[in-house]
Amino acid sequence: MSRIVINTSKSYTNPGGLLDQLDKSNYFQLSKSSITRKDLFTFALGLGLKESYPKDIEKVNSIVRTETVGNTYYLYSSVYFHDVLSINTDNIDKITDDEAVYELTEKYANAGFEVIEQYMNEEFKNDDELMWKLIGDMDEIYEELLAEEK
Amino acid sequence: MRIESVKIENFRQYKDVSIEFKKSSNQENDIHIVLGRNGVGKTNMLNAITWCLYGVESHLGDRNTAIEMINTSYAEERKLQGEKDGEVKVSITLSSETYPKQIIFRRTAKYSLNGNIRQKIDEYKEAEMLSENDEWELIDKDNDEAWIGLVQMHIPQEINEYIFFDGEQLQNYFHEGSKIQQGIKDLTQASLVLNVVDKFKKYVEQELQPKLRSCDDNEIKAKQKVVDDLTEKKTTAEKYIADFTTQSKICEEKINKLSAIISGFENIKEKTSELNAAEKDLDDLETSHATTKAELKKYLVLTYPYFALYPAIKSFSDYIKGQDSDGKLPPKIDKSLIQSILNSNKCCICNRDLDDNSHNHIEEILKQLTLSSATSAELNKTSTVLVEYFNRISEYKQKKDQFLNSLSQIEEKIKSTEKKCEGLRAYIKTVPNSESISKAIDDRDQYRNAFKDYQQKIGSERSNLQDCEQKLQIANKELTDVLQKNKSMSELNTKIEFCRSCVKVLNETANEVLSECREDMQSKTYSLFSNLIWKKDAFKEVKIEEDYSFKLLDSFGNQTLGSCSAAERALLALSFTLALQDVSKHDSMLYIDTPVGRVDDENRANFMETLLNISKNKQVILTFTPTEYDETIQSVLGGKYNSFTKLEINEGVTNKK
Repeated sequence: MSRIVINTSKSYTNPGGLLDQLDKSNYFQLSKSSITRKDLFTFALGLGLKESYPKDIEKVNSIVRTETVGNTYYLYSSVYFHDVLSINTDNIDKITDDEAVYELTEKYANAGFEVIEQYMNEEFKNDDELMWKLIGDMDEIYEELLAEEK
Repeated sequence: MRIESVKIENFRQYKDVSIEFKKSSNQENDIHIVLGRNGVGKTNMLNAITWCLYGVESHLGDRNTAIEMINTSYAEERKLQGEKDGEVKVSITLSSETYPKQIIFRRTAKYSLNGNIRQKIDEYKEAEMLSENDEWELIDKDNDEAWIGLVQMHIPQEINEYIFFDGEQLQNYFHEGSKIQQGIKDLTQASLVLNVVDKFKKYVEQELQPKLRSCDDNEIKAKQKVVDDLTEKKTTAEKYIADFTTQSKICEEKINKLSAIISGFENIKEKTSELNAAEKDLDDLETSHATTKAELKKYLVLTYPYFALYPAIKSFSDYIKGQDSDGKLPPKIDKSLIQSILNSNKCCICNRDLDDNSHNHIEEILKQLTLSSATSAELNKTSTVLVEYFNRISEYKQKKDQFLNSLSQIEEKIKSTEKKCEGLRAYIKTVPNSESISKAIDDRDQYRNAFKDYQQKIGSERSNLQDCEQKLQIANKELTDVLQKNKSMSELNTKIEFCRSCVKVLNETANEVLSECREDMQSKTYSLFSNLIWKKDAFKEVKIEEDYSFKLLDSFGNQTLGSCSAAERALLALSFTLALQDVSKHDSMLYIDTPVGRVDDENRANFMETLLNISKNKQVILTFTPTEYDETIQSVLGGKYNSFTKLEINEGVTNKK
């Protein structure tokens, strides 16, 4: 039976938790009135992957219904391929195992939520600064891509 | 002409006061000061003079509520003495350079003093003049004509208000348009000519024309009716023109007054709306900036994962591409179908048994098929989506630049709009009471529109009038022709024709004289004013328009009368007066009651200096309150006065101190 929901740590979804704070402050346009929870989860996944490492979820709580994931799923499966299957591609059939894909992305996103919390409350209280940081990071990656293409 | 002395007995506050205004030979300035607190009777001294000369108290506050002119204390004393009547007497001694060298005018009013009622029972006047052989010659009190002749020769009543002023009158001089018109008419004696015109008109209308209307000749009657109708139309058009002219004058005065308020701040309204618009723009720009920034942030949130996950996407994509180039993707043969063929050892198409070669070949194919059909389908789909991801990544720079350029443009606009707002706010801050100025601008616009409207109406009525006049001329000619045919009416017709000719000639004469005098007055007033004014170059021309509206123009031809200071206005009135005296050849003195009452501190010295200069050529009598006669005035005068009279009031009676 395939997955119905994507989970994250309960500490983030609890009242007064990170999601609540994001909804209230709309920090970096991350409230549910600005973007979907799926996009928030994916952003957290990106941050977790780039800035941290997969972290187990202790007490789980659903954050996204998988039916809303759409084509973003392939972003998640790319992570799974890169982290797990690329080492031994004989197991490539496991790419269709969405449970395994979601489990890994949940761990990264869990780490990403921690990064967001840290940004919001410590590192980039002014979210304009986060904007410039992300632009800087993306510019850097973009330049690398251009170099690679050449 | 000078006033040598004034003696006032039992007139209002005065019981018995004589004031000399002699000119001593060692003083250059013929200036005289009368000092007294409010209520001491300075203005009543002016009233005593005009009453003595003309029988009227020209400067009485309210004639209806004023008590009788007989001094109360004197009247009570007389009653206590058992007397039943008392006398008010004012005598003025004038001197002149022409014969008679001196004249004494005396006016006496006799009052009955019965009980509480004081009633004037008689009034008479007499004059004495110093003859050529230095003998005093008495003008009989019954000789009204001689008295009036003497007064008119020295201080004509018509121009007395250009000789005896109060400070207030100087301030409001040009508010009363008719005063200038009347002054010029009186001076040139055009009034006299115009009176004769009126009399001729009345004679024609009331005496001669009714006879025409009542005659038996129907043709004459019919022609007269046409003339009457046209005359009525003409009168109506003239009335409309006069009304509209009055209205447009009122508008013009309002426009001038409002222009004075607005002066220098003409564009406050535009500036205020400009600021409002700029502030609104600024709000919109701030909103737009915030929106664009929010959109950029949202874009970053949605795009960042593709960058962060780029290595994963890339490796997955490379793997799929590798599989594809190896021909493993998409699978050409279904792995489970091959397996079932091997298991049954039969061809699934022809159902024949497989030989060894065929079996081995199929086994080889199965070995090569590493991807299951589900995986293959997944990878195929993934491959398509990953292309979208790469596109998204490659669009990044362009999109980011679009956002950042847009933000930077908005920021530039915000900066320039803020600067604009700052400038506008700074300007508006310098405008005192900007709201009332905005209102004045609105009001002025309304008056300007009304003025234009009246001008158009006047134009239209003038055209009507012209039309009427032409038709009337024809109708009159036709009436004359008919009348000439009728012998019994020919004498009447001759009279009417004569009167009409007289009216025409007299009107032309009056207009010519008035026009000449107007031109003379405007150049003389300006010449005097420009000599007297301390603020040189601020005013370039004085213009007395055909309708006698008075204009003081600056170098740009703008009317400045409304924006003049009180002192400048008073000075202009003084210049006009002096010009009037000059043009009329009545070299009179000047008597000004509280001349600096309305003049602000700054201009008092200038104004006083001017009066001192005037006093070099003519007698100037000035009255002051102690407050007005301050250090500034005293220092300008520097003791250059010929006489100084201090009046004080004690138990309702004014005396010299």
